[in-house]
Amino acid sequence: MDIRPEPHTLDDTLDPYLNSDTVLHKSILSRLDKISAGGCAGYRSEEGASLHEMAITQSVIQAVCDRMGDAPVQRVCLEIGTLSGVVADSVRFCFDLVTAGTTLEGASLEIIQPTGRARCRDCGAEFELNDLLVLCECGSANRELLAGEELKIREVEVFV
Amino acid sequence: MCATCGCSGGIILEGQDHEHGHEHGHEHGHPETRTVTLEQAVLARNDGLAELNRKWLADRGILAVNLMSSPGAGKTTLLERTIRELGAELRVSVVEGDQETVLDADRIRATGAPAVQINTGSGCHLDAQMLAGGLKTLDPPDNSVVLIENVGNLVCPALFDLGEQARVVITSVTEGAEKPRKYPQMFRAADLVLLNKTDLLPYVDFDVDAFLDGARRANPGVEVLQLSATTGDGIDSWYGWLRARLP
Repeated sequence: MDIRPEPHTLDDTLDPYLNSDTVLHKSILSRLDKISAGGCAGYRSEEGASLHEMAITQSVIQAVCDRMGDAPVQRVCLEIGTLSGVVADSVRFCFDLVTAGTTLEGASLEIIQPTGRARCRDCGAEFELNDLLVLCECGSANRELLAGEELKIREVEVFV
Repeated sequence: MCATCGCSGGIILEGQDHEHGHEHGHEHGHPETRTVTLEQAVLARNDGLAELNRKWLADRGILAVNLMSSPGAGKTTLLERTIRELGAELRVSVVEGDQETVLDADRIRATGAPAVQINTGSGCHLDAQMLAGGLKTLDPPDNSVVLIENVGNLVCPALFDLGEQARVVITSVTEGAEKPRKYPQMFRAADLVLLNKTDLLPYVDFDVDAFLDGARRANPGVEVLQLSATTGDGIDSWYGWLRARLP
């Protein structure tokens, strides 16, 4: 799979998606199609769309390759907050699939999952929250999220 | 990382240690490695492209609005009516995102507005690169409006910044009032919520207050407009919202 970095100018990134997929997209999606008969349905949303964790995982691979070049990668450490909207188990599921044929093939994947924390803008209390619908004890929904939305690559370990 | 030998033989959560005696996927006598701290957003590339889109749009005085909903909430019907009724006042063009077919773009073109269809294949959302391609093909005039109909899906599109100025989530009364509770990420991402198909309220069991409560738990202070794209009831509020955002 070709995952070399693409130029970040607008003109260079324009046409590939119009009624067709890029090479990148096609290779991932053809693999997804192959495995979908084997139980991927559980990862599909209620509306029947395929999982966005595939695109998220692909973004991880692309970012690591952009930054680390040709160095073979032994380990990738991600932070995926529990309120980020990304299911860590789905990323794990996608990781081996998407890394095949790249410098990340065979790399281990660590996922740290910060729990949600918020501060109430009305009463100032800080509290933990496991979903975005939790109200402050004072009854306010007006809260600032302090943690839980992380979606980042913390570090990578490469062979030297 | 394994605290005993420093290897990374499996997936380990913070605060959890794996039991030793695991099978290493590699020989001991580890080859030398170095750890590089990246602290980089996973979606940094998409976000960078989205900023390019945002600047491209701003330079041309174009208002771009990203419309997101589950399939069948009435996005295309809303667009058709909006173009027919505002077409003389605003120059509107449309980017249509669907997994397959050009059916929606054909419906939009029938109203006389330019439209480009992006087929995402198995992809469940539009991303910034796709929008860039759509904009180049569409070539919208300066000082116009681009309405982006995202792939019908209440999960994935919430994560991907396209470079739009505003995000609108559309729900219809036939879907059930619990949608904001089931999909809080999407409602949290919204700048505006439209509750569509209100002409059907007498015929369905839909608790408007419960819907509003759910939407505001996920996104306190979010504006919610109730309308019917079919009959036109309440649609002036949507037009007013759109006009207020013109550059």
